[in-house]
Amino acid sequence: MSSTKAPVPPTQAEIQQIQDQLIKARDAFQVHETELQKLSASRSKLLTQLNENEMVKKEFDLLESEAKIYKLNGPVLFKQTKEEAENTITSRLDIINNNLKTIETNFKDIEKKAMEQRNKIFEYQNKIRSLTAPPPPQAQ
Amino acid sequence: MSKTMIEKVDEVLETEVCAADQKMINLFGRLNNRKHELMREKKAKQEDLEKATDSQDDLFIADDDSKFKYSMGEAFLEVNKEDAESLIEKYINKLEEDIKKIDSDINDINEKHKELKVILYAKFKNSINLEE
Repeated sequence: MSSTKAPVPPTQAEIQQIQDQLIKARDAFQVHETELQKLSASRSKLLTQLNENEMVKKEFDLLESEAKIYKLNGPVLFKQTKEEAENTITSRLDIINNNLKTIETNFKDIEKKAMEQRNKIFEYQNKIRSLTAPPPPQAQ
Repeated sequence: MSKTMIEKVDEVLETEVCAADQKMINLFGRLNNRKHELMREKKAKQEDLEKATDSQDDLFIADDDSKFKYSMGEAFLEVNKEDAESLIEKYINKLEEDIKKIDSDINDINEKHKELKVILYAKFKNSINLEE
């Protein structure tokens, strides 16, 4: 009896290759997620510091110019002039704001990369799904 | 996938856990918790040491006739430069000693961890996971 040969299914090697790519994309995505979490933590910390220093600055504005100000360094209180103290706070605020901007930029970059990896993951999943779908039933 | 999973399960040895083994496993866990506690403590003391060192440097460059307020528990005492310097030196020395003691405690725990790992991995092989 003569019979028509069934369409050739994709080789196991092809499916394996796509699965490997899927795993790589997933791992890359996870790395990006971890980085984003670290940046979020840093940002939270900086925001806390920002609030603290801004409150200190407001307090300084309320003080008269001859007020006594002490700086706590380890176990010792050091006397400071109001001007010195204000300069310290101002420069700290500048540093904090710069760091926040840097983190914001980094966050956006990495978020974009994470999105790309996520899209790749969907792409590979769809490929595997279509390749491993059962072939249509053969007519008798 | 599922085939690999089944094969994996077969590899896991069915070793019986006796009371002595469980005690060792529990000991490993307790030591691990203690180790992490000590590491946190060490970190805090290192931060204190850093601040104290900064403070010492500031004292060094301050005017000789200055008065300083040194913290004693909850209060601050007014002291002259010389006294402040000697007090902070004592404080720094104490912190350094504390850190050394913590280091030696951590080393002791690491030694015990090694011993326990040798025994437990020898018996249970890859069916046990002793993460630190």
